[in-house]
Amino acid sequence: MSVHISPDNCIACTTCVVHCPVADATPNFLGPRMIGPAYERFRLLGLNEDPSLHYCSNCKNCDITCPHGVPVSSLNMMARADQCQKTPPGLRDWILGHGELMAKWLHLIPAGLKNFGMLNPFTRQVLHKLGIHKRAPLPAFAGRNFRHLARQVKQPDTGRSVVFYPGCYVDVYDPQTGLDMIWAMNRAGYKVIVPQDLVCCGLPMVANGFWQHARSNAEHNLRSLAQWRDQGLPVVTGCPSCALMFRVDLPEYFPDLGEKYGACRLEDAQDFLLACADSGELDLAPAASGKNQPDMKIMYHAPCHLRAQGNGLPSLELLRRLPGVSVSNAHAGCCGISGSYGFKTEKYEIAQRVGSTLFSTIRESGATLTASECGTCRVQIEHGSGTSCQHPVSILRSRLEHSDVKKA
Amino acid sequence: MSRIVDVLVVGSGMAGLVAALTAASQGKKVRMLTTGMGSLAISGGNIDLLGYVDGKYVPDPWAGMALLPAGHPYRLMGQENVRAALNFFQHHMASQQWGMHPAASWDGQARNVHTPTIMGTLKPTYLLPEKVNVDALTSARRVLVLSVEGLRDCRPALVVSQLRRYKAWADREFLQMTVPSPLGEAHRSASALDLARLIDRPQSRQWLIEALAAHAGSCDLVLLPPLCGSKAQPENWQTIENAAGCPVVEMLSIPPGVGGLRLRDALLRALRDHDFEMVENAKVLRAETSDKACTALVAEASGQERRHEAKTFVLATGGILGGGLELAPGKIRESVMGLDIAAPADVEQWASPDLFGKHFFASAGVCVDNTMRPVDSQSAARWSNVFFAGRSLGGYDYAAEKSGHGVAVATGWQAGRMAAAASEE
Amino acid sequence: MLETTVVIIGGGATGTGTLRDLSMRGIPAILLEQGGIAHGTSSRFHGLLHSGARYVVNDNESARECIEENMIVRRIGRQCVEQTEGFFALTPQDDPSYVEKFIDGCRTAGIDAQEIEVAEALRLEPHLSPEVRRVFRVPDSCVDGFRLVLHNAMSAQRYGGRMFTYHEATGITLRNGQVCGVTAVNRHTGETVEIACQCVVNAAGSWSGHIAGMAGLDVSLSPDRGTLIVFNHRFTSRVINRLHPSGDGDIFVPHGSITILGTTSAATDKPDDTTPTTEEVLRLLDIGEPLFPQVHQYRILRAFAGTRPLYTPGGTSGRKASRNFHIVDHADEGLEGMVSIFGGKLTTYRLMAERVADRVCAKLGQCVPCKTADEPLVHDVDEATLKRAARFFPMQGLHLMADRLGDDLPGVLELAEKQPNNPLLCECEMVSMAEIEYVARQPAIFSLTDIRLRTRLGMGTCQGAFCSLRTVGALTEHGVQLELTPTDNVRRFLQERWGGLRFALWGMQAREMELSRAIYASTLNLDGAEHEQDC
Repeated sequence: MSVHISPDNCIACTTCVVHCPVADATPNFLGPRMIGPAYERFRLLGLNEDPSLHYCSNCKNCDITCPHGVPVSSLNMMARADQCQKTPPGLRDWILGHGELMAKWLHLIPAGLKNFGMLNPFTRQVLHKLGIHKRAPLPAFAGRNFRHLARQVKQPDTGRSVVFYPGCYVDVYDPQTGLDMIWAMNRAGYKVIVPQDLVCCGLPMVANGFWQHARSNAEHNLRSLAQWRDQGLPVVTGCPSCALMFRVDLPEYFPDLGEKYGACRLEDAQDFLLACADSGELDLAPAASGKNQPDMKIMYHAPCHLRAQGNGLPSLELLRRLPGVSVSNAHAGCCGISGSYGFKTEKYEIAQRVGSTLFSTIRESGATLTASECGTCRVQIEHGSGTSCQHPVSILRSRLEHSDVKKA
Repeated sequence: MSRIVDVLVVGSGMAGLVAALTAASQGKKVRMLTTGMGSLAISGGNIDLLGYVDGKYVPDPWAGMALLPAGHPYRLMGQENVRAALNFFQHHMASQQWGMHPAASWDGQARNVHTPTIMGTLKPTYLLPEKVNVDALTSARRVLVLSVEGLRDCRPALVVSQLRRYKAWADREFLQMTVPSPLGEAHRSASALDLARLIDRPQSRQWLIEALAAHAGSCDLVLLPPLCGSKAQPENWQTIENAAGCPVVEMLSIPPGVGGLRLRDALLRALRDHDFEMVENAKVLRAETSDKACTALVAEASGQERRHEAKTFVLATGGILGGGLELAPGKIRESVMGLDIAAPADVEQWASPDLFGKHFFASAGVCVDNTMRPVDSQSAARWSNVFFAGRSLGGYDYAAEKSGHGVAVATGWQAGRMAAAASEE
Repeated sequence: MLETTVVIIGGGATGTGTLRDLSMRGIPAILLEQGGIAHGTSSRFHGLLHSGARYVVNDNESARECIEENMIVRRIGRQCVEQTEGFFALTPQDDPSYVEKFIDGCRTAGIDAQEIEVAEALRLEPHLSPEVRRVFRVPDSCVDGFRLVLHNAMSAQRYGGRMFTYHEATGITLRNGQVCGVTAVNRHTGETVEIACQCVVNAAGSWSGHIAGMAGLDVSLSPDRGTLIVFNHRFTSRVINRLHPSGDGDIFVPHGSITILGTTSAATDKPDDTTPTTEEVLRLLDIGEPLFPQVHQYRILRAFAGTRPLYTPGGTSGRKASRNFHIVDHADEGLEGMVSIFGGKLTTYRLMAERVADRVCAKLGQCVPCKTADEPLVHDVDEATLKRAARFFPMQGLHLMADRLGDDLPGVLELAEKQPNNPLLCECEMVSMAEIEYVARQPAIFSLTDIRLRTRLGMGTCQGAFCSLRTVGALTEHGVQLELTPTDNVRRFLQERWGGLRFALWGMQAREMELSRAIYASTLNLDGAEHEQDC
C-alpha cells in the first residue's frame, strides 16, 4: 500500500467503540479503535494482523462518531486490502464483491432462469458451502438492467439535464427505483442522462478485499464522470454508499486518481430534489383528486453511509412535505447488512443482531411502509422486519403520479 | 440545506443538546451540526455543579458560587439563571422518565454528595438519577462491591482498599464479588458498556440478577460499575435493585461513559418532540459574517462544502478535548469563528509543573457577556446572533472544579434561550 | 557488612556491561545504582546503534569502534536491536562537498555505505522529503537502551553478579590510599549498606565526576543536556540522518510503534538536568523539517532529555567535545583500587566494559579473557514456547513481548496460564496483565514507572490515561503491593508522564492530556480526593 493514513488523531477516547454496531453485537470484534488507529501503529512495524479485522463491516459509524476526525473505517479497509494481498480472499468474497460482473456474465440468461440459477435451493446449498448464509436475503436479478430500460424512457426535453449514476444495486437488481428517479427528475424539470459506460463504484470490492479491482473501476468512473463535470452538468446518485465512495473514500484510498481526474462532485439525488422543491421546481402537492389517497404512515431509516455524508437527511424532509404522509425517523441505528457483510455465513447472525433494534422499531410502529435510500438496507429491512421497504423517490412517485394521471 | 433555521447549534455534547432543547421547546426551528458524538459518549451520568473553589471543597455549590471569580460562567449569567437552567434540565429529564435530583443534607438543603468511583476515591457531585439512593451511601454498614470477571476498569479489591482510607468508610464491612463474565471467552475485553447493554434486554440480564440474589440480605448497599443499562430506562435499575434487595449505586467510571449515554438518550428523546434536525459528520470550517452578525456557517460535507444559514447560532463545540479550542505552539484559537484566545507566547507558561496544579490552559477560552455572546476587548458583543456554551468558554476549569456538566447545562440553557429570543428580532 | 571483590557504581549500560563482563570472568562483583535500572542516560537518548557513519569525518577511530561494536551488539543483543539500517540524506540545506569526505571516511572506517537512487529511497521511506539530493544506506540500527541494560543485568545475574538498584553510593572508604569499601543508602528504606571490596569501578556516567569527588578526586566532566522528541507513530522504518557534520536535531530513529527525533546539545551543571524546554522542542522540529516536511504535523507524545557525560580535560565543550571514552586508573593520582570510565556512547558500551574489566583484572592480578562478545545476553525463545504463548497474548505483540522479556518469558507465560484470562491492560503498546503482574512481583520494582520501563506500559498514545488505573486495579486484586498506595502510584505515574508532555502542549496530544484530566480529575477526583480523607 503506497498510502498510509496517519493514526495520530486518535486519542483513544473510546467514542467509536461506544457507537460501533458490530462491537455491540459481538465481543469477538476488537472494536474500531483497536483494529483501526491502535493497530495501525503496529502495522507500520509489519506485524501480523488480528483475525477480527474481518469483522469490521465498513458501516462507518466510527467515522461519524469520532470527535477527532480519524478515518477509522478507511484504516480498516486499507489494512484488509493489505492482508488480502498476502492471502487472497476466497470465491465467496469474489462473488459478493463483484455483483455487477456476475450480472453481466449472466446477462444472456433470462432473469427467471438466472434467478432460478442463483436462488434455487440447490444453488443456495452450493452458496452456503461457499460461505453465504442459507437465510441471507440475496436480492433477485432484474429482467433487464436499468441502463437498458432507461434508454427506452421517453423524457421531456426541458433544456436542463442531470447525469444520473445509478449504482450497481439499482442497475442490476432494482431498476424500478432508477425509473422512479427519472420520473421525479423529469417532474422537477430535468432530463436525466444515464451514461452507459459507468461501472460499480468499487465499494463492494474494497469491503471484500479486491483493492486493485476497486482501483481500476474508480479510474474508469472518474475518467468518465470528469467529462460530464467539465460540461457543467450536475451528477447525482440515489445510492448513499456510491456517493460516499466517490466523495470520501476514493480520495483517501487513491489520492493520485483525484489528482489526475479532479474531484468528483457526485451529489445526493434526494438532496438535489429537495433543493428543487425549495426553489419551486419540484411540485410536491398532488392534484385535488390525488388527495383522496389514504393517509400513509412511513418509517424512515437513515442509512449509515448517508449519515456519514454531513448533508443531513434530505429524503426525510422530502417525505415530510408530501401531503397525507406522516413520516418518522426510526432512530434505530444500523440495519446490519453493510452491503454484502450480512450475507456471509459467519456474519449473518451478527448482522441480524445489529439490525434487531431497527426491525422491532419498525414492527412496533405500525407503519404502512418503510423508506430508505440504500438498496441493501431495504433488502435487510424487508428480511428482518417482514415489512415492505422502498426508496423514498419511489414513494414520492407513488404519491404524486397517481394524481397526475387523473389530472391529465 | 437552503432552509434557514431559527437556531443553528454546533456540537452535540451536553451544552449543545441543552441549548437545542431550550430553543426548540420555545417553538424554534433548530438544526444541529455535529462532528463526533460529543462529551456524553465518554462522561458520567451525574451533573457535577461545583465541588471545589480554588482547590477547596465546597459542600454547598450554591454558596460556593459566590466565591468564584467574576469571569466564571456561573457569575456571568448569575446564580438565579443557573438555578433556572438546572430546573429546566430536571424538568425535561423527568418528562423522559429519567428524573435527576440533588441530595439533601440533614437540614433539607440541596448539597454535594460524595460518590464512590471505580478507583475507590470519592467525588462530589450534585444531580444524580432519582434511582440512586443517596442516603444509603452514608447509612450503609455492610457494603457489597461487585464487578465482573474481565472488566479491567473495575476491581473490587482496589475500590475497597482505597475507600477504607476515608473516615466515613473506614469502619464499614465490605464484601467483594467478581461475577463470571456473561460474555464468555470473548476476543475483546469487556467494558461496562458491553455489560450495560446486556442489562438493557430482559433475556440477557439473568447472570447479574442471579449473582445479586445470592447475596440478597447480606448487605445494605451494593456498589457496582455503571452497568445498569445503557439507556435512560428506570426499569433496568429497578430490576437490579429488586434482585439485590437493597440500594444499588453505580460507581463513577472512565470512558466509555455509560451514564453520559443515558443522559444523551433522554435529551435526544426529548428533542424528538420538537422541530429539530441533526446533521451528523458535518465539521464546521468557518463562519460567514457581515458587519455585526453571522449569516451562515460553512461545514464540510463529505469532501465538499455546505453552507448552513440561520437566524442565530449557538457554538457548543467543546474545549481542548472536543476541538472547539485548538492549541498550537504559542497560539490558542477558537475553531469556528476563528477567535484568538489571549495566551502567553511561551507554551511553558500555559501549564503548571504539577499535573493537577492551576493551569492557564485549563480555563482559557472564549470571553462572553452575560448573554453568552463573545465580546471584544471593549467588552462589546462581537456579533448580535452568535452565542457560546460549554467548555469553549473561558473562566473555569471543569476538571479541578468538578463543574463540567453543570456549566454545560447552565450555559447551554442561557445560550439557547438568548438565541431563541434573538431569532425573533 | 557485605563482601565482594569489585563494586561497580552506576547501573547504566557501561556499569551493567562491566558487571556482566566481570561475572563471566568469575570475579565477584556488586553493582550499585541510585535509581532503577538504566535510570540515567542509557534510557535517555535517541536509541541509535551507530554504524559509525556519523563520526567518520571527525573521528574515524570512533567510527571504526562503532561499526565493530554495532555488529557485536546485533549478535549478542538480538532482542534489543531492531536491524533497520539507516539512511544518510543530503538535503538542499546541506553542503554537497561534505559527501566526498563522508564516502572516504566510511571506506577508511570499514563502514559499508552504498548510495541509492533518491526515487528508491522515497519508495522505501515515503514520508522522506522528495527534495533530498543524495541518499546513502549504512548499517545503522535501533537499540532499546533500557532493554540492553536489563538484559545485561539478566546475563550478569546468571553468572552470579549482584545488583542493588535504588542504592545510592554515599561514600568510598579508603585505607592507606587504597579503596577498601563502599557505603550506600537504600533509597526506599533509608538503610545504610556497607560493602567491603578491593576495587571500585566508577561507571556513573554523568554522575561519575561526583563519584570521583567522593574519593577526593577532581575530574573535568561536564554534563551536556540533549533534548529529544517522541512522536506517536512510526513514520520512518529506518534511521534517517542528515548528511552533514553532526548537529542538533538531525537524526530520526524509529522504535517499535514510535519515532524519536534528537538531539540538542546544551551545557548544564547538573547531571540530572533532564527537563526539556519548549524552545528546544520547536528548534528540533525546525531542524528536522528538511528531512520530513510533515514533521510539524506529526503528533508529539512527549519530549525528554538526557545528559551526556562529556569528558573535557582540555576545556572543550558541546559538539566539539569528544564522544570517546576514557578509562582512568586513579592509581596514577595516588588512589589505589579505583578505576573510572568517562564519556563514551552506548553503541560501544560493551567495548568500554571490556576495557574496564581488563584493567580491573590487571589490578587484581587475574588473567581471564573477556567472553562478552560471543555469548548472547539472553536465551533465544524456542518456537514451542512462542506457540504456547500465542494462546495467551495477542499475535501482533507476541514477538515484541518475547524480545523485551528475555529470560522472563517463561515466568510470564506460566503466570498467564494460571489465570482465567489475560486482558491487555495497556492497549496502546499491547501489554497484558500477566506480563505486568510478573514484572511487578520482581524485587527491584517499586512503582508504575519501574513497570513501564520493563513493559512499555503507558508509553503509547494514551500516555497512561487508561492503563495506569487498570494496572493498579489488577495488582491490588492479585495482592501485589508496590511501595505507594494505588492512588498515589497513579498520581505519580501521571505526573511523570505530564513532565514530558507540558513542553509540547499542543495539537492532538493536548487533547489527549485533557482526556486524562477528564478521567483522573473530573471523574475520579484524584486531585481533590487526596485531601479529604475525613469525608
